[in-house]
Parts: sequence; C-alpha cells; structure tokens
Amino acid sequence: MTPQTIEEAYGQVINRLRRGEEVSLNWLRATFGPELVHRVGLFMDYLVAKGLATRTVAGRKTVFSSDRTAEIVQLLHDKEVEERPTRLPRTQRVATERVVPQPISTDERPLAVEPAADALVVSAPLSLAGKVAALFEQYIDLNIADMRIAFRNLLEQAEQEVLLALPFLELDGLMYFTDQVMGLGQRGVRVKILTRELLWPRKYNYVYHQKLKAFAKFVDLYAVGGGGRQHIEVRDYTIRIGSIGDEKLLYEGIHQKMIIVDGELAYVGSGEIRAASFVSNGDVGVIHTGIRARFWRDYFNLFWAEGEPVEHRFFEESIQ
Amino acid sequence: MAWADKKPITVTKWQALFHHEREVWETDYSAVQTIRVVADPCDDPLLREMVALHIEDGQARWTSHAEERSQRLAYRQAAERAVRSAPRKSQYSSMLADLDLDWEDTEPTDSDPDTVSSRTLRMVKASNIDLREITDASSIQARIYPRTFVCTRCGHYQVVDDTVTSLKCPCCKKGYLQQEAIIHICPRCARVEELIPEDVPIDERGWLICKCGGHLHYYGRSRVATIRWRCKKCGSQYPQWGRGRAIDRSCTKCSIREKDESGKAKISKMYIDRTAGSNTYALAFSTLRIGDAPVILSVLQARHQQDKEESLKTWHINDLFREQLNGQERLMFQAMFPIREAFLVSNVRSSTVVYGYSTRKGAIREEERLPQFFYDGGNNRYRAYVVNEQGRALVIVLDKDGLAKAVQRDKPTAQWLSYDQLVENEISALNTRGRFQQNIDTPEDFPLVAALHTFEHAVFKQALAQVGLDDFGSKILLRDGVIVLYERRDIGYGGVVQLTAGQGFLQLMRGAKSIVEDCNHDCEKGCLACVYITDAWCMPFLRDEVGWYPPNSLLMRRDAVVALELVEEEEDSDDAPND
Repeated sequence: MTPQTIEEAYGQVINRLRRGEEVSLNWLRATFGPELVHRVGLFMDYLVAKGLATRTVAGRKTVFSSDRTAEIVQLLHDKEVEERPTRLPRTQRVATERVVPQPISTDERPLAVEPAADALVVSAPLSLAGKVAALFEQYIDLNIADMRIAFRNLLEQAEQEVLLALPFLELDGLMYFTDQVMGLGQRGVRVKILTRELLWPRKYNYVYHQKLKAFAKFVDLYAVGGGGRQHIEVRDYTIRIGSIGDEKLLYEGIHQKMIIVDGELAYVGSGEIRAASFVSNGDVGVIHTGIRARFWRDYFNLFWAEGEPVEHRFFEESIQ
Repeated sequence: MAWADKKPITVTKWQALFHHEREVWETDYSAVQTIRVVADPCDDPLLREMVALHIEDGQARWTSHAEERSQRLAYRQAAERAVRSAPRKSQYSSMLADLDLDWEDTEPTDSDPDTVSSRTLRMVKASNIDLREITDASSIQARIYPRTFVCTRCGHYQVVDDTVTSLKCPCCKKGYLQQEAIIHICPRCARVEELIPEDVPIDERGWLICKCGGHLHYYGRSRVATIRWRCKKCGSQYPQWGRGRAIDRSCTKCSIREKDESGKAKISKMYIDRTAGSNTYALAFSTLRIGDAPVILSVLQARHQQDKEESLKTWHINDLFREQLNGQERLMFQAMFPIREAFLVSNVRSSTVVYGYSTRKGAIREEERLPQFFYDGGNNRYRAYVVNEQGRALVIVLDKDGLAKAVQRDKPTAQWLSYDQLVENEISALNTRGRFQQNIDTPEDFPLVAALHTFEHAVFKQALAQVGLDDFGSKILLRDGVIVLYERRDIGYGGVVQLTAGQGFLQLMRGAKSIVEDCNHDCEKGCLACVYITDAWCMPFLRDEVGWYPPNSLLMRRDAVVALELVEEEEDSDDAPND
C-alpha cells in the first residue's frame, strides 16, 4: 500500500530493515512513487552517511541494509521531539518558524552554514502579540526570531566559546535557559560573562542579592552540567566616581547586551536574560554573523580586558 | 549519379562547430575532411580578445618546440665539427612551413643567424581574429578524405580525386573501388596524412607506381601490422620487410630526430587509426555572460532578483525547502550537501568558441602536444568559430567554509587556510606553465579545484540523465565557489526549470552525489564509469581564473567524496534549532 505521508514511508522502510530485508532502489521507486521516493532516498542516504545503514552498489543495482534499526527509530524520535509544538503565544510560534540560527532558512538568503546577517530578534508584550503576529505576516521574507528562542538557539549552538554581556542578569530570566547553561558545561564550552556593579554595588539591597544569586546559579548550573569552573569566568566593568563614604555614582560601565557564540554569531540589542525581556517589555536586537560578529567579539574583549575578575570564591562567600 | 557529386548532409550547428577545420570524420557516404565552415562574421571584441590569448598560449608551445629543434641541430653540428654554429633555414624550413604561425619575415644576415629564436613571433591581437558565428543557416564545406581507394576484387590501390567519374576498378574492370578509411595522425601536432607508402610516386591517374613501371596493389587489410603494397608486375613489396611495422612513419613536421645532450631524440611516430571524429578534438572555450557582464556570483544574484521583479519563471532552493521538505528533511539535506544557496537565472548568454584542434592519440605527454590553428596566411588572420545561445542557468552556491574544512581535514596544511586562500594557492599553481604536465599528472595536489571539478561533472551528468537532453553546459566559478549549470539552447521549461521542479533539485543532488561516491570501478581520479564527460563539454574554468587544461583532466573523485562527506557532527546540527 502506498504511504500517504513521509512518516508512514519511514515506517515501512524501517519495518523492512527490521525484518532483515534489503531495501533496493527499485523497491523504493515501486513502493513510494515519484512524490516520496526522493525524500525517502534522502533519508536512506542520510542513514548511510550517519553510519546507521550500508549501501551496496553492484552495477545498476543499489541496495540498503541495516541492523541498527533501534538507533534509526531513536534518531527519528529525537528529531520529532525537537519539532514538537511548544506552548507559546502565537507571536512566538510564528517567530519559531523563522528561527534565526538555523543553517538553511526558509528565507531566500544564503544560510547554509551561517545564519543570515541582520536577522531580527524581537520580543513583545503579550498584549501586543496579535498585532506583532500580523506585522510578521507583512514581512514574511524577513528573518524574525523570538528573543527567547533566539537566545536558546544561540546557547545551544556554541561549541567553543560564549561571550555574554549581561549588565542586569536576573534569576527569573536565567530559569528559561537552565538546560542550555548545563549544556554549555556538558560540552565544555568556555563562558565569559561581563557585567557591572557586581563587586561594588550602589546599594546592598534585594535587587543586588537577586543579581548575585543569578550569577551564582549560572556558575552552579554550568558546573552541574559537567563543566569545569575554571572554564566560566565573570568580570565586572564598573568605574565609580565619588569619594569614600559618599553616595558614589557610576562613572563608566557596560550597558550593552550581547551574546557572542564562537565569534561567528553575535546578538546585540536591548534585551538580555531577564524575564521582562521575554514577556513584558518590547525589546529588540539583531544577530550578526561573519565579520560583524567578529567585530562584536573584539568590542566585547576591549571591555573584558579592563574588567575586574570576579572569583568564584566571591559567590561562595556571599552565599555563606 | 557520379560518385563525386555533392551530397548534402544535415548537421546541427553544434556539430558544425565541433567538426572543426581539417577534422576527418565519417558520414553516411564516406569519410570526409572539413575544409571550412561557411558562417557569418561575428563582431564580439571580448571573444576575439580571448581567442587571441588562447592562440598566443599555443604559439608559445610551438615556439619552444621549434627552438628546441634548432638547438639540437646546433648540438649535432657542433659535435660533427661543422663550420656553422647555427642551423640554416633550409634545415628546418619544412617544419616551419606547416606551423600555422605568423613570423616576421626578416631576412637573415651574417650577424643575425637564421635561428628560430632570432625570429620575432608576432603578438596575436584581437584584430587578427576572424571570428565567425555558426547559426542554423551555416554550412560545412568538406571533401572526401582520405582519397585512398582500393578495389575490393583485385586490390588495386589508387588516390582518387575529382577527375575520377566512376568507381569501377580501372585495373580489373570488374571490381569496384572502396575507400580505405585509414589515416596516419601525429600524436604531437595532430597532423593527418593519408595511407600512402613513402617514396612511391603517384601518376596523374592517382596510381602508385613501382620502380619497374608497374603499379601497386594493396594487401593485408585485416591487420594494420601486415599492410603491404605489392607491384602487380615485378612483385616488389612496399615498404620493405623487416623494418618493424611496415607502414610506420614519423611526422615530418614536428619530429626532432637530433638527440639532446642525454642522447634522446623526440620522434613523433604517427599513429594509425581508422577515420573518426574522435581522432582529433576541438580546442574550445566557453564564456557565460548576462548582458555584457561576464558571470560572477553578484551578477547572477542580481539577475535572479530581476527575474523575480519581472515575474519571470524562477526558482530558489527555499522553494524546495518550503514546499517539498519538512524541517527534519531540511536538516538532512543541509548535512548531506555543502550548498549555501541555489537559484535559477534567465538570460544567460553562452558563447562556445572553437579556435583550433589537437589530438589525444598516442602515448605522449600533454605538455608536448602542439595545437593547430585555423590560420589564413594570406590575410594574417586566425579563423575561429562561435555558437551563441541564450537560456537559463541553475546556480549552485557552495559552502566555501565547509569545503575548506573538508579539504584540510583530509589533507592538513601547515596552517589553517580559508577557502579563498586555498583556492588562490591552487589557481596560482595551475597557472604556472612550467608545471603544466605535473599538474595534469597529480590532480591530488589540487584537492579543492579537483573536488569542485569532479562534482561539477557529476552534476552535469546527472542533469543530462534526469532531463534526457544534452543541451547543458557547466562551469565553475572558483573564487565564488559556484557551479553554474546552463542551457546551451533555449529549451523553455524543459531544461533547468524542469530540473528544479518539485523535488527535481533533490534528485539532482542525490544523483550527483551517487555518481561521485558509487563508481563501479572504484577509481581514484575519475573514469568513464563515473565522472568523465564528453570532451567537448568539459570547459570548466573561467579564462581569468585557470588557463586551458585538457578535457577531463584535473579530476579527483576521492577528494570529491571527502568534500561531500556528512558535515553534521562538525556543524553540531544535532542541536540545530527548530523550524
């Protein structure tokens, strides 16, 4: 019986492989017809490339076989999980369909390895969700991503190094990315967080302690994920003005919000890792690639070089 | 009807282009040789300039060959204690006479010995190029060739010309003359000679005359090695027995019989073969333009945008992703193929130019082969022929970074190089003329260019198989990392549009990858079973990137396999985002 969907076709192929039977190109053509045969062929080629199946060519005859069907099923399952719809407001669902850092996007810009330059990242208050969704429809060709999704994807894509400029990190925002931060630790990605007023706050109040807690939690999540604490660094770029004893003013500090991944992807904008940036405020930003991303990395490093290291002991002592 | 009456033969303009001047080829009636193609002049400054450059390259090879011959003659004379220290014109004039070269005709003086090196080779300018455009109205002028005919009954052998009105054997009066379609061809200079024994006079009737006054008959046709002529009257044999293959001969025009200092002569033993168009091949190049602008990636992208604005039928790879594949399949596709982008463009003008010919016969190094041009000495012009066409093209933009990583993962370099650095290094080495033969022999020294060239051939072959037409050409824009598959004829929606309709592009890429990966011979560089294509359609490089190389050279199948390996792990696409 000819399958109606690609999932049914995968099922038929896997059942055949599971029975120990070979899958020949002729069988694929006869079973799936022109609508599905190349898509199933792509799947089979992919399995071969992944080492989950073997392809044997003898003259004009090509057959596939596999004794690793369980792993193939798992592979498909993993992919399905990624594609499972999320409980997001419509704004974010629309944005999810155009998520920025995917290597080949639905947009007509070259995206094979690098996402398009100038991808837009936005976040809107829930009350404006409908209107923002309508606006998206008018600019269907643009790469527009929801801020939370974009942040998540950036953190997930990191392989070597993540640079974070987070002047106002908050715990409620961090809670959206616990898995991603643990993933950074798991993959051994080096993390540099640049912030301000962490060592020398203006006031030792609830807000400050929440911020302190957020940084401590960030480091702990990273360590729980398996990352060495020596691979996550925090620095404070704050220069104050005013004599001791006075109410000191901030003379210089960072206000930029940046997430730079492997020197290849750089988010810059108004939103950062705070819940308000995802559900309450209108925040905007862009994701740059290529030379622009490298510029942002170098720009970050200017501040990083001048920032004062915050030792992990500082968090431990603060907690005690 | 007399046998020599004119017979019209219908050929396409592409056949007219590649049945180049002096090519010997088979028709339904007999073997013939093209004299020239009757075509209208074409005033295209860019093409004429490019032809001039190609011819100048070829002339340089003739010059160095002639100089070598001159020098060796001088060595020999010095060894023989000859008075003269340099050869005289008469000693190599036979060679120069057939060179098709344009020499300044300066008289030699005592202080200016008549050596080849003392002559000045004129620069070939665009104004020296007589470019003619072949259209459907063009025609070929050809003559019966070779003119050697043999009686099927008595073996009478005769050189036939237009004065012969009947093919009835003039010797036995019973049998009929049949063309003996065997020729000699020089593997170095591609010069062709008819199958006539050396040093045998031919009378006005075209008969081969023996010393005794009798005429020669032809024997031993079953094998080339046993071909002989024998006098019907005295029984003398030509050539004489006991001299190896009796009919072997050396090219009188390009052989260097004098030995060099190491004692090696450079003899061109002429190759013997039946007449066929494949004995020689046209020296050709092609250009792609949009309007008057030679194609580069930015020009192609602009044209694609313009197509959309003009609501022309077009396509982009994202159409495939949006309409044919789901998100999971997109990730698979991205992992399987190093492609950044692909799209269609219209109004691509292709010009295919033939300006000379060469041969691949015989075991001789490519660097020693000498090109032949279509030189008109009277007017000091070089003829060249062009077929102009306009159609659509499929542009495949490859992932340059991915390719650079793949190449260097397989063949690490001293330090990490970007795609641009890699490709510039390879282009520079390929354009070093002193390395010409070495480059052909070791395509593995150019993993990037060879991989791209191999993949380009695979795409071309798959396109032909998928659409069922052979109206495609393909090119590589090395610096842009782009493969262009273009239509050599306006075939409407039957060409690249059909290739990209529905899941066509997916099929194209899968097929191309399969051609590269699944060679039945499991060859290393490429072979007829996998990525070789018809010589005439292998013109892969832009002239300003890589100079001429023989068709189907610089292929490296194994490097292409590496370049097409799954990149998922490296790109961490297991963690790729949702769609």
